[in-house]
Amino acid sequence: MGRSRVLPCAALALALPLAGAATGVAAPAARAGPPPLRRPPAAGPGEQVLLTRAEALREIFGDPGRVVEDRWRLAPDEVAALEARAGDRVPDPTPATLRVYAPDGSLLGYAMVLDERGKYRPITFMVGVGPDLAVRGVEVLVYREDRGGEVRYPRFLDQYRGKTTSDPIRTHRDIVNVTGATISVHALNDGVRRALAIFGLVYGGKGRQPVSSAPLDLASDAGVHG
Amino acid sequence: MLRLSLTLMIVPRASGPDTLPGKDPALIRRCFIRPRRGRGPALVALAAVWAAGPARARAQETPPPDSASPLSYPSDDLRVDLGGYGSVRWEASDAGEVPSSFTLRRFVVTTDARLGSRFRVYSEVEYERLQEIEIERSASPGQDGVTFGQEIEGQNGGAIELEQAWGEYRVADGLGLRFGVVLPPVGRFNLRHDDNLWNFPERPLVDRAVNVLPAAAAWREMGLGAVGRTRVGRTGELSYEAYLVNGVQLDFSLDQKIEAEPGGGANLVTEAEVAPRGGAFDGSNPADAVTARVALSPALGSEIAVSGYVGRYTPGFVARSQTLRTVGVDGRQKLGPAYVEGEFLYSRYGGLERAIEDFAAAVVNHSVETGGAPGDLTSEAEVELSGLSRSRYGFWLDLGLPVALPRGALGLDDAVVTPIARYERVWLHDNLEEMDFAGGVVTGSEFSDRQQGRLWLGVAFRPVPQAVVQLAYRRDDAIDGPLSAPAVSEDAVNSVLLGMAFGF
Repeated sequence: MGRSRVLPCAALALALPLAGAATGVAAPAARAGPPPLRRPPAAGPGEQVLLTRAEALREIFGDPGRVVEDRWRLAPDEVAALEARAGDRVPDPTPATLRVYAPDGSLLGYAMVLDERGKYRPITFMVGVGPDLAVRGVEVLVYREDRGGEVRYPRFLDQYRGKTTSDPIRTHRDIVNVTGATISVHALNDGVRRALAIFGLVYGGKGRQPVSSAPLDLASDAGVHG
Repeated sequence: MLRLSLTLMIVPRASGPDTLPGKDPALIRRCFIRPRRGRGPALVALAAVWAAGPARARAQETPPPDSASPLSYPSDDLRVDLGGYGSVRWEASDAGEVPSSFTLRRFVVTTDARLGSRFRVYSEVEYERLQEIEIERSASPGQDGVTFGQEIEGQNGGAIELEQAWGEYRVADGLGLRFGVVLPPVGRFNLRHDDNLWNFPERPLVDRAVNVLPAAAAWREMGLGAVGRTRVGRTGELSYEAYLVNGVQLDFSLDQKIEAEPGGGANLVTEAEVAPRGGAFDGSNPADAVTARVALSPALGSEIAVSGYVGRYTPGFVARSQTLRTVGVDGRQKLGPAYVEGEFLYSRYGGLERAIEDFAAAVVNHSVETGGAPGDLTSEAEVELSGLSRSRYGFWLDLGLPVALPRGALGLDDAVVTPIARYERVWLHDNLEEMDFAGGVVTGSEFSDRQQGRLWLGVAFRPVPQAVVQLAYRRDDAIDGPLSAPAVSEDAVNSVLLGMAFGF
């Protein structure tokens, strides 16, 4: 793992100045005065924000009345257990999840936003589950790859409906692959498995309390991650 | 596996510390590294990220941020992804003329660059069976003057090829205009010719060795066209590609060989092989061919497509133009845990005899000899037409049963084993076997039918999705006429192939 990270980054460190010189875009000489105020991009060139977090919640849960964002802090042994259960690493020990309620106050389910690396870039998507912790819907918020964008469409994402931690959620088992998007499919599989494992840990037991909770105003929540 | 992703983005300084979503910062760091204008050299910024520890690195990360920010993202972004694919193979057969050997099939380097929000440039450079190319030149003064020398070293079959090089302007979501060296969308193999996408260690007959495809895969053409896809209902998708291209033409290649003469001396033979080849990139032949493919996928795992090509195949120096037409039907269908996938292609060379006559008139003589005394080096020039049939058609049909191994088996998380079978058949109707002409007139020609069948049985093992190890048995049968691939005298050849293909 370490090697796979070092190699690209070392190559990147070597290539960046050269590429910058060649393209003329990375000539960061000192400039007079501060640059204009701009936030980082929502997505890179050619990349589209397909849904905001609020829009994805509406796609999965209909018209939620109230949403609460919970922040968790996972102990190392919990992270290890999650990784064993999900079959993949859990990179963030402080995940954020959403509790989603109907206008009448009944619990509709839970959701979380994940970033999983596709072939080259992260795919940002939301996994929503019902109170029974079975997948209610998966929505892609940002797709950044040049290929494999078919995974953002319902015909692929609908496959995850009803999946639980007892399902393999693997290509050639219970998920149909998309030709030309194999890596993206694997990324989504990994993310859904991880989300289900986290939901099971934080909402499946009794009495676990988040580190913090805050209501989410869907009307003003126009971001991808919040 | 090597994965290298370069991202160069100009993002002006934010007023405060970066806000992070807290979503897998390591992932974001790996995938997005953005030098910032006005923050010192990019290398320094990179070094700072990696040397200053997690806290500092975190401050340098640029996450996928909020979409509805009132602030627009820069339009001068540049992003370049490096990738590639390749394959190697070992092959042994009971055909005496084919040695058991390892082959570097190809190694392809790809670049995919985003220039701004709507423009993309993609390229593939292939090193096919290439060991080396070395050129030595010298000019040596001597008593009798200066001697100029040039020496080219390489091995048989090696090539460096530009497989793709196009720019695409995204007009709208699901619709792009492409301009450059593109893949004509005939059949399904040419478009998806990356070796690691397939479970078999060799390309299908109709696409490569006995190509019914107008030119052997990966067939590329200079052209301009549109690519797009649109959703059909909730589960369906319609995709299409259409191009105007230079098109396949009879083109020549020169081969030189030295034959020892029984009476001493040698004969230098220069063969001009004239065969259909992809259109030149230098603008020397007119862009008069069109090609298109339309595919309907009613649901995930199933697709049916029709494709075609029409273009003049006779070169500009012959009197009358003749047309090559190709149609294809291809598809894939999931059948429970298994899949079936296939392609049928039909090509017709219109006016083939007239094309041959015109070609003979243009070339004048089939062969020319320049004599010399016994023991001298004599020379001979020959012209040969090949790869032409009045019509040729064929198909391949794959059947596979992917089985995902239990997670952790062999230390792998996503390993898949797939028993595979393929049947291929190709028909060459009125294939031009030999033609003699002299003085601009065809003096004799020989046409014959050929038919070849090929059966594959094997297993493909994918330790990771991007790589595959293939072990397969292959049987070739000459049903009518001699075998075309491999071109041997036997009527049947049994082979075993072990291959590995990878992509990154």
